[in-house]
Amino acid sequence: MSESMKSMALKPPGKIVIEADVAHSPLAETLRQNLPHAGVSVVDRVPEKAVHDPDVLEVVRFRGRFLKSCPGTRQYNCCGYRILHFGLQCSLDCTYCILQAYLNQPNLRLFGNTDDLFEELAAEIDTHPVQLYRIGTGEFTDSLLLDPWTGFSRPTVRFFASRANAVLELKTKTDYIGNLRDLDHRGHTIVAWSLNAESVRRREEAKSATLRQRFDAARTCAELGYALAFHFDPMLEFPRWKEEYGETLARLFDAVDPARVVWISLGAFRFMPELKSSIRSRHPGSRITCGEFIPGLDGKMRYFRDIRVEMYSFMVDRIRSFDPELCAYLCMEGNDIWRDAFGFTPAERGGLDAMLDRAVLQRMKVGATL
Amino acid sequence: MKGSHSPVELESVDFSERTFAIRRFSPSDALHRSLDRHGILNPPWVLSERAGRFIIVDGFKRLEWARDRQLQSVDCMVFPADSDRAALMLNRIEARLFGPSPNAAEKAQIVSKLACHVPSERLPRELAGMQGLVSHPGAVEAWRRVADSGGALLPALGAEEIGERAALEIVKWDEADRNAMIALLKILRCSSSIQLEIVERVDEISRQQGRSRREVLHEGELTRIAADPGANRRQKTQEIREVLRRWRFPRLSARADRFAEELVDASLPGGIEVVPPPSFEGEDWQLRIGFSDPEQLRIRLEAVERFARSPNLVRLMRRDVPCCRK
Repeated sequence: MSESMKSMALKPPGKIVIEADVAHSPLAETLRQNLPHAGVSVVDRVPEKAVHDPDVLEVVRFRGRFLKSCPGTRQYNCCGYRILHFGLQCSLDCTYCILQAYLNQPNLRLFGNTDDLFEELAAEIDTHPVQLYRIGTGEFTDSLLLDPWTGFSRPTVRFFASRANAVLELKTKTDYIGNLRDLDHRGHTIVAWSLNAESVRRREEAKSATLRQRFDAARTCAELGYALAFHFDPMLEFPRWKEEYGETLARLFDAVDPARVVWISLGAFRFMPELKSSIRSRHPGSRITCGEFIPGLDGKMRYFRDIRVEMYSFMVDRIRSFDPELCAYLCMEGNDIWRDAFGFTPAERGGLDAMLDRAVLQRMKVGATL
Repeated sequence: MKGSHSPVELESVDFSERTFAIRRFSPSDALHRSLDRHGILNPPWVLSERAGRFIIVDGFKRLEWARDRQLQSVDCMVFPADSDRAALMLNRIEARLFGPSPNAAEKAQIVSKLACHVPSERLPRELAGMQGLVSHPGAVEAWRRVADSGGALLPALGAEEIGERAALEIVKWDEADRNAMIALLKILRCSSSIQLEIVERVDEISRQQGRSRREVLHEGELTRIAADPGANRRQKTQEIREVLRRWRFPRLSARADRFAEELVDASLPGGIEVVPPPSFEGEDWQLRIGFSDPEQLRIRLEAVERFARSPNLVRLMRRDVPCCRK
């Protein structure tokens, strides 16, 4: 097996700090079993302002709402995605990552009270049986980063398999799909990868899986019957961006059948102004904040609109050349950008929410009876 | 720590030993006028060394003045040779902080010397007690770099030719880049916020273009503006900011320039203004109409109505994007 075909191998956490409240939870027990060499300590409460230790995994009782709305802003069109908040932080250390700004909670953290999580999830989904829920776990952490040791994907996929009105999206930059094998997912789970240009992957996402590994994992998931999705987010502008993003798309559709893909999202790099100094100090060699960024309507820095339109238009053209029916959408963009990149606005198609619900119906056959 | 007052022969003072020196990098005219009129009022501090030699702890300028006047001896506060040098340095800094406010160059040296003489675990406590020195212990390393930077930075900081924030940024640059920036800022003498803007723009342009910062700073367009004998420093600052803005945001600038040209071509009547969204982001265009009486408003509204139906408005709002779908 060549080097590039090996699965990625991140170092597992060496220390686990567990709150006493969840010390005997199924998640804590699974971690003890799967990480026998890790030092485990039980504490009353993990302090809020912990010192960053990349070797530490914290397991805490989460006291807030597990199900959250996508943090969209009214100025731009939001996908209406729901977030299942099961943990925080990521050790992939991508240069552009927003999680760098979460200085108060710098360590990998999982919520040990998963029973509460599933209870809340069931209460929400079952109380609104005619509403389609698109729910993902990859907003505040990578959906599968710790999955080899937590196995959390298994109960989650099983939970969604039993709900007629919900689909789960697992969003990752890893190839940790081992736990997804042999699961009766009943077509209610989308496995999604964040993708980028090859040089961006090497420079800015160095610890994540290679594109080859992601494509291999996607192909395997397709063979296991899972639906797929891909997110070109954040797209970066650099001299050879067209060639490289075009190449990534070509490799993607060489690896998987476009018919298996429920959607592809596009989002040009945007960041809170405060993130700039974090990126500069943590990744001094990165040039990603040096593009033509202007303050967006939501206060985040964004590429000047014409640059975004050029990038999106290029990608939309390419995606349509592979599959004209494939649902491509923009993450957090205004109507003017949609009009220039797609030729229509989400409102003209019933709204972005409705577009994505239709994609679920058409490609996953979920939601037909609602 | 005990010192005692005693006359010290100037020929036994080692003027070249600068361990305790905190240079101000600014003229000492007022001090010299006072010394000329009244002599030395506050005794300098010296530290005894072996063989009857002394090193200066505090009062470098006063003792240099005395030497220049060829005085034989000066009454000093003499500390014994076995004095704790770290404690002496702390006292020297404390005394300095209660004199005229230290300038930024002095601050940098004080922080650096503190960091050298005080154990790291005690440093935050010492700094906390010294108001206005550094806002948090994390800044110590940056100020030490400034103090140790050598070259033109410290003198420029002392002479207030460059502000603290810009200094803390360019101290991370290599010396040639730093000197090129200092040379420009000395010409412009602009506010500290504009200095910081210029520093950041140059840094980002160099990263964006994969060139050194001095290459950016030595571009003909910039050097011509800096050397223009017909422009004052405000004009030069404005022109340089404009050039840097254009280099940093080439496509946004081109769009803004095109908009400005087309606005002129649209020949809008006076008092009517079309304002695009900031940075052309979003769809919130504005029309501003100024008027002085109802009749003028009526006339201008009619002109606006004609303008709203004309191709000029469409042209103004047009987006030139290569892949743009119509």
